[in-house]
Amino acid sequence: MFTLFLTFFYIGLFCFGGGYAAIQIIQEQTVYLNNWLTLSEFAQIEAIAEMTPGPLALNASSFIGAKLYGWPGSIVATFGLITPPTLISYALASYYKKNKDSQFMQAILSGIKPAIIGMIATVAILFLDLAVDLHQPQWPAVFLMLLLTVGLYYKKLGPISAILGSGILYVIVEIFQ
Amino acid sequence: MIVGFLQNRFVQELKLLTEEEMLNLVSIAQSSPGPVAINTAALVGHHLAGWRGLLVAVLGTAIPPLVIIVIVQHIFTWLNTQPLCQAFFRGARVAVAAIVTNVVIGLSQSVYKQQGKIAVFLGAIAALIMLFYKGSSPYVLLGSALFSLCFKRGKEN
Repeated sequence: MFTLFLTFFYIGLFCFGGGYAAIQIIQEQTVYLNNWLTLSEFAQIEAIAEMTPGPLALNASSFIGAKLYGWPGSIVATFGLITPPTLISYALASYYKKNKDSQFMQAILSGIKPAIIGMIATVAILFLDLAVDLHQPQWPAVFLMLLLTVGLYYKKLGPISAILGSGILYVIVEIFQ
Repeated sequence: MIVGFLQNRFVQELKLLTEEEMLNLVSIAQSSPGPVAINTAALVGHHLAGWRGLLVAVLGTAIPPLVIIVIVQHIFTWLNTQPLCQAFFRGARVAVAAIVTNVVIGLSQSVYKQQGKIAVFLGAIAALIMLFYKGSSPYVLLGSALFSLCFKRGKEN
């Protein structure tokens, strides 16, 4: 339980650049370093976190905590995740009273933006491999994935309807097989 | 999404913050670590009522999703033994891959517009390092922050 707290504390400290960057660090810590989950379980959790209200990273963290230790685990993971940002925000709130422009941090952030995109790209590659198997591509899945990407890109589809649509499609195929 | 929500409530309905103050807080929230929703809540809470406000705002943001997830996780543990549910999540996996791919495409386009080809190239290098050295992403982030600081200094001198 203490390791759970420390792990999510670490994640909270390093998740710069929004929910998907956080998903990459969570994946790295829980799937590869601690072996708490398989990649396929992690992808399920990501799908559920996407569909439930609330910030993506918080949802995924409390789900993982709950899966490992029930509701106490969920509380521990959530508090681990939010402790560093809360403390840092407190410090910043006091500091920015004196110095209102956040140009320095903005400069660093635009500098690490490529690295953040790289982080999210690694999750994209892992999830792609899981969904369509990059070594032996399953062409119907590849086609569906491309279709969904185009739909999302041109804002014809929201994330929730993409998940529901493709999930229900698989359920129908399963029934008729 | 939550930012728009906060803006509506605090700026337009409650008139506790001006539009400009809100934008300022959001830009700080986006440039510090942690979920943006938590950061924004913390800063707005602090702005209105000091550290007590901060605490209340953070807890208020974190607790509802926590409760929802605990319930969802319970239901899911039971559902997941059903073959149809497993089929649903095989489909959901494809959608999740598409969602994350789309995020990468969107961000790459914006960084390409702001910083040019070199930034996309650096992103690809970062991705390769993180794929081959598991657990390295915090170091890659720190490294690229240092790199960009040095590079910026170099240009100024």
